[in-house]
Amino acid sequence: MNEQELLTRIREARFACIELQLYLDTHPDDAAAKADYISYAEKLLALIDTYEATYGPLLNFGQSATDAGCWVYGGWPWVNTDMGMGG
Amino acid sequence: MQNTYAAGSACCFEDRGGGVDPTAADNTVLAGAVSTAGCGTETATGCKLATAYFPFQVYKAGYCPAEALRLGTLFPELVSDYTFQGGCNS
Repeated sequence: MNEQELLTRIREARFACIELQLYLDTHPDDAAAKADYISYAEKLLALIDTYEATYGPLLNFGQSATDAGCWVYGGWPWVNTDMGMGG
Repeated sequence: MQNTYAAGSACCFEDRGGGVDPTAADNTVLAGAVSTAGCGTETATGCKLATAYFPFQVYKAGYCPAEALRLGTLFPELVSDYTFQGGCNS
């Protein structure tokens, strides 16, 4: 999976987490929703780990135990390099 | 004014006003005054408050994440086919 595909998988998993989190706000005792939320959350964390191990921090304010300082040398994940704005 | 503290202490939140004054609304009776100032001359100048109803959602199945992100919801029962119909003036 290349960087953009990995970012897409992360967006998708994060969206699934957000949706189930909102659902659980009003249905805190729904065991199936809770189990699925945990599954998607674990999947999301694994995807983020994979991304950061290869491409560096996904977020800018220090919670990523990856190559410290490497963010200086590359484009940010949210910069669209296709449009020539990133590094 | 709410959450106001003495000068020199914590920050204050100023009352910005502008809230609805129920005693100034049309066709109201002051609280506790129904027996003496009832609604004998009631006229229908105001509008009824809107009421909303929605069914309680039950999670039975969700789209796979890629499809959910594309459709804007994880839940098949919440998909709406919003289509742009033009701006307010068109």
